[in-house]
Amino acid sequence: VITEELIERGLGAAAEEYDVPPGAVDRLAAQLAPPQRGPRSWTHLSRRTWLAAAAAAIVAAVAVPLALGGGGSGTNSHGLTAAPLPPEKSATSGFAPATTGSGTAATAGGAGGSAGTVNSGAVPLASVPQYRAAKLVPAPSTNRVIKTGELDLQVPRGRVGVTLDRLSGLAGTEGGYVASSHSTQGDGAPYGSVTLRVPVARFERTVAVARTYGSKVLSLETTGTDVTAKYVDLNARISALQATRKTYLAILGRATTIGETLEVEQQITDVQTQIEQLQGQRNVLANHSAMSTLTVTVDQRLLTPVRHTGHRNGFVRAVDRSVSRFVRGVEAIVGALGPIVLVLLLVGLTALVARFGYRRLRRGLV
Amino acid sequence: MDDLDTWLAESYPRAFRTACLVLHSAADAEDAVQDAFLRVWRFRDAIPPGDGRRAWLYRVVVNACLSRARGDKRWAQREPEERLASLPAQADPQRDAETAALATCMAAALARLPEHLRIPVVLRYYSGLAEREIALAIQRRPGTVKSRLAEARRRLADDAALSEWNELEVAR
Repeated sequence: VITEELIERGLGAAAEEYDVPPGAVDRLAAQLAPPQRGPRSWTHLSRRTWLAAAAAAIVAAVAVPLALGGGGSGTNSHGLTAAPLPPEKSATSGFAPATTGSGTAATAGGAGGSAGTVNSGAVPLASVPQYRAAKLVPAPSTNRVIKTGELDLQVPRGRVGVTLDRLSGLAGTEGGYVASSHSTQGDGAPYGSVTLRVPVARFERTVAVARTYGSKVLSLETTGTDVTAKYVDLNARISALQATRKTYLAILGRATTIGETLEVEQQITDVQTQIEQLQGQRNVLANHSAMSTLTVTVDQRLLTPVRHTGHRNGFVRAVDRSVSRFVRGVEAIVGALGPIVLVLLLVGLTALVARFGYRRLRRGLV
Repeated sequence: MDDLDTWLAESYPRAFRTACLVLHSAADAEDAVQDAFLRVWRFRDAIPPGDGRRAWLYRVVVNACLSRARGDKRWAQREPEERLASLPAQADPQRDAETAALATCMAAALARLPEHLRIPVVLRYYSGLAEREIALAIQRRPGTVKSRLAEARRRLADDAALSEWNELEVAR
């Protein structure tokens, strides 16, 4: 057994061979020392002050565009109230014009603007020419609408595979691609579906062509959601946060102690995280509003189900009846066992009590 | 926080050498201890009061070492630094030579120990932590620490070079 003293001596000797970096302790102490209480400068503010300044910067970055461009609540900076306009009727295919949306204005700083489906809601201020001409509402650069559709086609027997191939070719013709596809060719009726991603501008045309590929359209459902306001809002928030991050980076360059550095770095990390989250949301919106999604299900024409009406002879019927009665008999036995067990338990308990009482009585008599 | 700064500065040399023994590299150890001390300072509100703070400090140091070691895939095959074999000349050449040889043997034997045995050994026999403190530092139960220390001693005793030293020590 090795002695502990030898281990201690050996480890001590091995450790002593590592020289402590010269000046490391002093450097560490200087870094960890609290900041000197000299003349108060803007780089020596407390963490709470930094947070308040950052919050004020963010609020200002969001509020200024709102004040200049009109809020999402329907009242602009000039006191004009957006009169609610009658909602547009939805188109047969499920799509209103792309400019329709919710009843709130889509503005550059439209934190109050919310996305709505195109099938309901009033026309936003941004789409009203006189408001746009007066520059009360900045016009969004592009309208962004997410379009999706589900089409259920019925085709003649043996045409499922061919139809799926034609649909795949249609996606390429319209400048899109096939996102997913599957088909089953089992014992039952063949069945398949394909999901196409095509540019939003060609969505209606793609739907119109696709529905001609079937002998019958079983169902067609299309939806559209105007996300222009949300997209613009995300852009504004990202810009504001990027400005905040730039400010923090400038402050970081002036930090003199490790404490200040860590605090500013923490703020930068938080802001960066928010920026990345918003950018992710914006990318998803951009992707979904650039390419629409159409899912087409292809079914073969259903055959009339054949009822099995085969003749059964007397022997088979007798066996069936016998088996059925046997099962019923077993069920009856199992059902009867419950009360029997309960009765047996009660009888046993009564016997025990009687026996105990009898013995007590007998001892009392003796 | 002056007290904390002073305590950290005083703890630096031993923490640095502890990290050296775990990582076999002065450069990596310096970085790891720097990270650990900054982390301790950043989360200074979480430092337990009293005697528990030493175990807490070594817990942070060990975690920083493990993070650095696991990020470096070559670490598992790393040999102790060669400069261990060369010692500065001192007053007693005979004793210096013995110390140098022992240091070399111990460093080599330590490098052969797996990580889960090496860290308790270093914390116990170099850093001077009690088994209870080691348990806090490596987030294991005291019974586990005890068994790991016993296993580590057994493996060190099986080391050929160290066993010769041990016999010599016992003979003295």
